[in-house]
Amino acid sequence: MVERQVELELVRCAKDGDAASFEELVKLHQKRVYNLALRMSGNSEDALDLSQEVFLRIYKALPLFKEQSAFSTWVYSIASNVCIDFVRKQSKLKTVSLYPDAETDAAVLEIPDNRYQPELEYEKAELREAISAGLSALSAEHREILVLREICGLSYQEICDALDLESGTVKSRLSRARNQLCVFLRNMPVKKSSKKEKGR
Amino acid sequence: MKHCDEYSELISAFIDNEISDAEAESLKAHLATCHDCRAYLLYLEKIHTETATLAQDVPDGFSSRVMNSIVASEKAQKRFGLSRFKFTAIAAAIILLVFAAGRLDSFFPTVAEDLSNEKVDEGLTQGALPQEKDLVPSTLTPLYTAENYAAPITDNDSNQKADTASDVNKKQIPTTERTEVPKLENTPPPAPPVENASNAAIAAPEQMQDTTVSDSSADEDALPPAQNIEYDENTAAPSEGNASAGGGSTTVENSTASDSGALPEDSTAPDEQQEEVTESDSSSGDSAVEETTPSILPMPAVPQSETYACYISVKGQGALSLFSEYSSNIYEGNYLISIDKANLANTLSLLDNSGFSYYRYDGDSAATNFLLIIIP
Repeated sequence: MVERQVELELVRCAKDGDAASFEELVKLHQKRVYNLALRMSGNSEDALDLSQEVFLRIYKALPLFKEQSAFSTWVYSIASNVCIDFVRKQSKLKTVSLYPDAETDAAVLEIPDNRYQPELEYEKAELREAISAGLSALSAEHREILVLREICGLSYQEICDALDLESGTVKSRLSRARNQLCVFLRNMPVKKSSKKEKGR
Repeated sequence: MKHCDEYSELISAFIDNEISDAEAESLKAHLATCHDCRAYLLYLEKIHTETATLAQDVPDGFSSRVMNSIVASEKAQKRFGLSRFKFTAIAAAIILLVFAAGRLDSFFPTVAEDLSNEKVDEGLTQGALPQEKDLVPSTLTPLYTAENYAAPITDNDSNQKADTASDVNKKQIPTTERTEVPKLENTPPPAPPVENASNAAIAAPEQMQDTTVSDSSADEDALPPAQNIEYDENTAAPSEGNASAGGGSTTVENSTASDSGALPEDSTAPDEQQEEVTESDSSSGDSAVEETTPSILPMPAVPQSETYACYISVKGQGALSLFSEYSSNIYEGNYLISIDKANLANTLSLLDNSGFSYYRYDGDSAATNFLLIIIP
């Protein structure tokens, strides 16, 4: 609550033209914005540009912020719009099928009990790498909401406000996103082969 | 995944701690009996834990980069604002130029249209007045010269002109009234538009010999003034034998106002004629007769404010001799000459002193811009 009050004071000072206050606001939210942009764009260069664009828009639209919602929610709303626009413009983005081995999916599903134990299949680094790949493979909506929740740490209500969604929609969309990510991780072909090698 | 779909949302919300107590109790009861859902919960928790570690730190100096970009954006906006002002100014100038060009275009086509109308009228006139060729010699040459513009108008001349104009508007003249040397007071009243009178005079020269303008005025076939403007050697016809043999009458039959009153008052007619009038001039005084000669059509167009369009219907030997003083190429017929306003009085004085009776009609008292002189 104290942090939110401090944030509000910074917003008001920034509205009055205090550049230092706005820079403080940038520092408060830059990590979340950057990570959202990073996961949405897939590379750090675009993530920096997108983050910069987000804060530039925030600065220009600052007089329009009516303080009726949390500043952070407003920031993520703008960040979401910027990132979604970017993703839409990247029509040539490489997409990864959630079912890369659809034809041999039955065989993959034959992998027995350890399918819900990724630590047995991957090292942590490998798992993080797989999750990153899985996030990139998700749809923009699923990726966005999952990043906001898992990486940015937004609550359901904050996600509702940022994305202008109903709470039930947020809950169901998060569930589907996680389910899709699990499917992707289970069906990673490289890991399957490495597992088979281990089995031998 | 073989977990239960109906519990997948609860499992996801349970990981996020976004589940109610009742939902948590329901989920726990299900997990106690469902191995797949327990495995799925563990799997999601693992992903949840590892995903949170994916957060990366922002590169150093990111906030400074943002602030620099804001400063640069503001500078660019200022430059854009200035350039936008310049752009607006340039656009406004272009619009004005285009508008001005449009006005010019709308003006020049009018001139061109008038010229083309003159051509058309000329053709119509030539077709409608075949007798003109018969009356005017083909050897008639243009007499208009710029040097004919001469002496400025005098006060007396101006008064005479004003009186003439006023009388014209006030009085009505008997149908046929022979008078001696023309008096301005006897000049016909609001008379037919010149184009009608001249038209009648041109179209019915025989009737003009009867010295009644009324006959001619009854003939209301519109005859554009431009017809006469374009008279030239080709349109001028050799005089007929009776014309040359016709005695110079010293009297003028004034056309009646009653006859002319039937003519419509076409205020546009004088203007149209005036636009088509060409310059000519008569010098002041009798002595100027030898020096200057009134121009005979064809005449170049001049600003209408400087000249009168003077229709002259010449009939009879005397009239011919009168105009022979202006030019040896005057023959019986109808002519449109341009008389310089400044020398109008001199021209009328010249006519008065010539001893010939004539009919005169001032087309417009307020802005007299044409005359009708009929010398029977």
